[in-house]
Amino acid sequence: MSNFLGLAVFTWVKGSPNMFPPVSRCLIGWWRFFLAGLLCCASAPAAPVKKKKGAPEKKAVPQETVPAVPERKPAAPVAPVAPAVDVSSPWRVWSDTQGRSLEAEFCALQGRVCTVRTREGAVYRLSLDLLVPADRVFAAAYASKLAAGRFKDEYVKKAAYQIDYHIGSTLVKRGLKFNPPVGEEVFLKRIYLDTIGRIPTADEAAAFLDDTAPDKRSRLIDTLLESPGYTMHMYAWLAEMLRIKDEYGKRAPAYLFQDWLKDQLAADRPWDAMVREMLTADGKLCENGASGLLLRDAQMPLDGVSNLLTTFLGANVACAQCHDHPLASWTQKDFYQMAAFFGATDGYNEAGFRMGRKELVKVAGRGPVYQRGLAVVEANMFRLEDLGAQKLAYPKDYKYDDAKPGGTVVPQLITWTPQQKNLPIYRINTSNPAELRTEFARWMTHPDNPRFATAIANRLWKRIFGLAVQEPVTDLDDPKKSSNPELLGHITQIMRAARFDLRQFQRVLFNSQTYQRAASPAPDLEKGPYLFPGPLVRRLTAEQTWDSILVLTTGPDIDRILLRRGGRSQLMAIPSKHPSAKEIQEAAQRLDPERKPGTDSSAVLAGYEGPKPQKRQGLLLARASELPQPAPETHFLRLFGESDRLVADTNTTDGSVPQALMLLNGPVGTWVSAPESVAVTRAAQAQTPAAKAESLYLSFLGRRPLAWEKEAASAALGNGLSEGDLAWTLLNTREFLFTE
Amino acid sequence: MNPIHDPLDRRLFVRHCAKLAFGLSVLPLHPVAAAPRGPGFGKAKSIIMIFLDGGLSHIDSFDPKSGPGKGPGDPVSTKGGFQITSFFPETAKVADKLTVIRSMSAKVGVHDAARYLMRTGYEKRGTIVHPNLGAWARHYLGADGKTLPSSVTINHGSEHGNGFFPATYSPLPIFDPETGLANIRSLVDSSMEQKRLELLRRLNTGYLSRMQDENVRAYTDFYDSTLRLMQSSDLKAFDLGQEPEEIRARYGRQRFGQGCLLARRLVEHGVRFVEIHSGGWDMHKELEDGMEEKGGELDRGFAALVADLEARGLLESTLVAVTTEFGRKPALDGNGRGHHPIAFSCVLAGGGVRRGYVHGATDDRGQAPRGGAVSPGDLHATLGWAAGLPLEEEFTTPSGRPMSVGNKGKPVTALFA
Repeated sequence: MSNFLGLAVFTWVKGSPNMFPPVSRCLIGWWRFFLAGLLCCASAPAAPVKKKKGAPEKKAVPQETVPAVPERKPAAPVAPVAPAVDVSSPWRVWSDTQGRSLEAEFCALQGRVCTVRTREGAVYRLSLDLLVPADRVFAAAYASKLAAGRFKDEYVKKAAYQIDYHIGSTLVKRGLKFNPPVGEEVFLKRIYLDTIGRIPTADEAAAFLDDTAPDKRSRLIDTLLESPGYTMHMYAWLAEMLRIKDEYGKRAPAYLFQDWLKDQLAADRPWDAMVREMLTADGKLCENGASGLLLRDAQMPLDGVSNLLTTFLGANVACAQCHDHPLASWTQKDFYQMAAFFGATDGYNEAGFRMGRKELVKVAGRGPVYQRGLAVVEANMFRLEDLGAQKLAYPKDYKYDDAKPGGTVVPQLITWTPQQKNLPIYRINTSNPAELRTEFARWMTHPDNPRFATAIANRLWKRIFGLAVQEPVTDLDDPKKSSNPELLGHITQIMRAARFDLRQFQRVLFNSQTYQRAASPAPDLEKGPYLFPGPLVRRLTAEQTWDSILVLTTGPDIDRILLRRGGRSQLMAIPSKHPSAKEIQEAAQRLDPERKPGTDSSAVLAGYEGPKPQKRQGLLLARASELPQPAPETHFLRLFGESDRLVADTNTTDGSVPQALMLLNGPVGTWVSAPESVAVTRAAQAQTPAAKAESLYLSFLGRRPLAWEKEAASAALGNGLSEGDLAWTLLNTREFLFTE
Repeated sequence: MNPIHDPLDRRLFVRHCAKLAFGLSVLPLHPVAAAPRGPGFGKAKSIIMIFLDGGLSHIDSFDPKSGPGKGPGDPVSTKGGFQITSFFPETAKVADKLTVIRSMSAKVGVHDAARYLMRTGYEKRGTIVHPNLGAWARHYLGADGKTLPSSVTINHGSEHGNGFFPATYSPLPIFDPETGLANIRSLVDSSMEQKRLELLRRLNTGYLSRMQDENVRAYTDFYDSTLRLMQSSDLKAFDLGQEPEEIRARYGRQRFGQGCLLARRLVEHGVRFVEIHSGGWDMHKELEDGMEEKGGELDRGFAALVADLEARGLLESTLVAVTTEFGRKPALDGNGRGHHPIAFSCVLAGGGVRRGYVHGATDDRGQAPRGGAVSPGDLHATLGWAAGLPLEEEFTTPSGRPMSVGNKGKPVTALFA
C-alpha cells in the first residue's frame, strides 16, 4: 500500500507561483506520485509506512481484501466547528504526516477524501488519513461551513412533506392509495443504490439494521450523499445523458472533460454553474475540460444544438432541425434561430488537421509513430473558438416562407408561451458575435428560464423513482401533459430553492415518505399516468449491477479507485496554431515514451490514482465510472444495457439470454464465489452454517435471511455446497438483480 | 407454485420432451391458413435483415446520379442490368439476383426515431414499444420446433425486439460473431449444477411469489430459456470455427462479414429471423473514406452471403434485406452529406423476390421518389408477406390497442415474380 511513499521528502514552496512547473508536467512527474501516495494509503490508515529510497515502484499495488470498515459519518452536515479553526478562507498550506506540503484551496470533503485545487487549477484528491490533524480539523470545519449554506433540516422536511401532499391529493382524487411504508431492509438497499450506486456491504448493512436511533434513515442519506461513491454514481448517470466518450473524432482523447466533470460533482458545484461553464468554455479539448460538452458535437454542430435543447431544456426540437415539427409547435426557423447562438463558434479545425497530417507524413511514414502523431494532431484541432461573425445560414433548400433560403440567421430565443418574451432574461444583446454563446448560456441556465430547472428536476426524479413526473424527459413542451403538473411545479421550486445544488435536491426527495414506500410493479402507461404511490420496482442499471458485483468481490475500497487520465491528454497540447512535424513528434514523445504501441490497457492502468485495480480474466476491477467510456461492446456493462453513448438516454434494463448466461456461467460468478472474494471470506469466518448463510444474505441482499431461507441455505451448506456455491446462487436470484 | 416460474421443473420437462420449442409456447398461438394469398406469399422461411446504422447514402450506393450531387463513386453497370456505384464491385457481380427499391421514403430524419421506424414499421411513441418482424413471426408462426431461438441479432443488442410481446420473443443478441454464444458452458459439473439450481429455485420462491412485476417475471423466463439453450444440440450453429478458412475470408474478416457468415449458419439450422447490424454509416464528413471502408465491408459480406445462399440452394427460401434508417442529402455539405429521409434505397435478395429488378426511382438529383413511394410500413408488410404473416389480422395489446404487421402498410407485390 505504501510503495509510492519512498520519495525524497520535499517541501512545496509557499506563495511562489513562478516555481510551479506547468500543470501538465506536474501531473506526470514526481508530484503525481506524491498524491498517489496520499491516496494509496487512504484505505489503510493504520498500516506502518515503509520508507524506501529512489524512484517510486511502478508495479501494481498488492491487492488485499480489506475488511469493510463502515464509512465514518462525514463531518459535513453536523460536526461542530472547532472555534480555534479559521475558516475565513478556503486557502491553506496542506501538510501530510510525512512533512510534505502543498498550497491549495479546499473544494470538497467526501468520506475520507478531501479534494483541493492549486492556483494553477490542478485538482488533487488527498486522503484525510494522511493529513496532519490540524488539516483534518480544517477540512471538517470548512465542509461544515459550506454545509451551513445548504438546506436546513427543517426545510428538507417541509419540502419533502409537500411532495407527499401533491402526490396524496392526486391519488385521493382518483380513489387510489399510497403504497405502504417500506421496512428498513428494502430502504437500505434502495438508498445505497440510489445514492452511491452499489449495494451495501454486509458490515454496512448490519450497522444500519442494528442501529436503533430514530433518525437513522436521514443520517444515512446525508452520509451517503457525502461519500466518494456519490460522485461515481452521478458521473455514470451524466455520462449517459451527455454521451461521454473517451475519444472524439477518431482518436482525440476527451479524458480531461471526464476528470473535470468528476471534480465538479465531488465539489458539489451547482448544476447551473456547471452548465454555464460548459456552454461558455474556450480552448482546446486537451487543455480545458469544460470544453468537452460542446466539442462532443463539434463535427455536427446542428445536432449539438438539438442535443443541448432536448437534454437541458426538454425542448422537443429534434425534428425541427430538418422541417417544421409535425406535432410540436417548433418550426425549422425556431431551430435555426437558436442554433445561430453557436453560429459564431468553431469547434473543429478541419484545415488544421489536414495541414498537421501533411506535416506528419513527411517525417513519420505510416507506422505506429504516425498513428500516435495523428492522435496528437487531432487532439489539438478540437477547440472552441469564437469567430468574428455569426455564419449560420438557412439551408439552400429551405422550403418555408418565413425566411430566405441561404440567408443568414438572426439569433433569437424560443419561448413556450408568448408572455415569456417579457421576462427580463429574454433581454439579451446579440450584437457581438463573440458574446452570443455567453448570452445564450445566461438565458438557458437562469433560474427564471421556463424549463431549465424543471428539466434537471424531472430527470433526477426519474432516476430516483424509476419514472419521470413528465415522460419523456426530452419533451417538456407542455407541462400540462405531465402525470402531475403540481408536483412538477413543486420539484422545480425545490431545485430553484436549492440553487441547483443537486445533492440538496436529492436529499429532499430521499427524505419524502413517497420515496420510503413500497415499490410498485411496472405500470401500464397506456391505461393512464403513473401517479407515484411509491417508486417503481427496477432492475439495477448496468453500472449498479457491475459495481455491486465488484463490492462483493473486492470490498468497499472499490470506491477509492479513481481513474483520472486528464494529465495524459494535457501533454498533447501544442501552443502554435499550425504545429510543425517536430512539435507533433515532441508531443507524441511526451505522452509516454515507455508505452509500446498496442498496449492500451497499460495506458488505462497508468491513469489510476493511488491503488491500481486488479485485473481478472482481462477485465479491470474498477467501478463503471472509472473504466474506459463507454465500455467495449462485449463488456459486462454493455451486455447489461450501458449505452454506446452515441445517442443520449439510451441505457436499457431489458433482460436477455446472454445476461443470464453471464450470471450463470460468466466470470462474475467465479469472482463472487471464489474463496478470496470479500463476501465469501466474511462468511467463511462464521462458525455455523446458519451464521454463514446470514453473512452471505447480508452481503448480497442487504438483509438477514428469513427463518425458512436460513434453514434452506444451511441445509444446502451441509449437503456438499460451499459458501462459494451459496454466493453464486444468491448472485443469480431475482432479488439481487432488482431493487424494490 | 407456478411451474412457469420454475427454471428447474421446466428444464426437466424439456428434457422429457426433446422437441419442445424455444420460448414459452409450444404451438403457434394463431395457426396460419395454409393457402397462399398471392405470388410470393410465405416463400421466405427465413429473413436476414442487414441494418446499416447511421443512414446509407442512396446516391453513393444503389441509386447513383451523374448530376451536381454526384458523389465520389462513379456509376457502374452490373450483371442485373442496372447501375450502382463503384464502391460495390462484388455486389455488381450478384446483381442479377437482387431487387433494388429506390423509392423508399419516410418522414423521420432523427437517428433514434428513424431506426425505430425501420425496425418496427411503427413511429416511436412514449407509451408503447412495438415488436420487430422476428417477434411478429414468432407470434403468428410459433417457434420453429428446434432448441435454438427463432430470432437472433448479430453485432448489436436486442432493442426494438419483443415490443408488447413477452420478453422471451426478443432476439438473442450475439455481440461478436467470433465469440459466438459466450458463457454457454456451465462452470461446474452437472451434478453440482443440479444442486446449485435446486437451491436457486428454492431461494427464489419467496421473492417470486411476492413480486408481481413483469420485468422480474421476464428475467425468470430468460433464465428458463437460457437453461434450455445450454442443453441444445445445435450450439455448433454459433461456432464460426467450423467454417473453412477460405469461406471465412470470402465474407471479409471484419465483424460485419463474419456476422453475415454466422447468419447463414443460423438460417441453415432453422433460425427464422436474423438481424446483422453494421454501424458507422452516418457520413456527415469524409464520405469517400467512409464508403471505401464501410461500403467495402458491406460489399464483400452481402455479396458473399447472397452467392453462398444461392450455392446451397437456400436463396429461394431465405430473404436477405439491406435496410437503413434514411438516405442522405443530394447536396454535399463539405465532404459529407446530411440526413435525408425523403428518399433512400433498400436492397432485397431471395425469398421469392424478383431477380435483377429495380423498383421505383428518384428524380435526377435523388431528392424525392418519382411516384410509387414505399414507406417503412410498406417494407415491413412486404417482408411479412414473404414470411407468410397475416397482415390484415389485428393483435390486441395487453392494454387494448389493435396492432398489425407493418401498421397497415401495403405489401409491394410487384417485387415478387
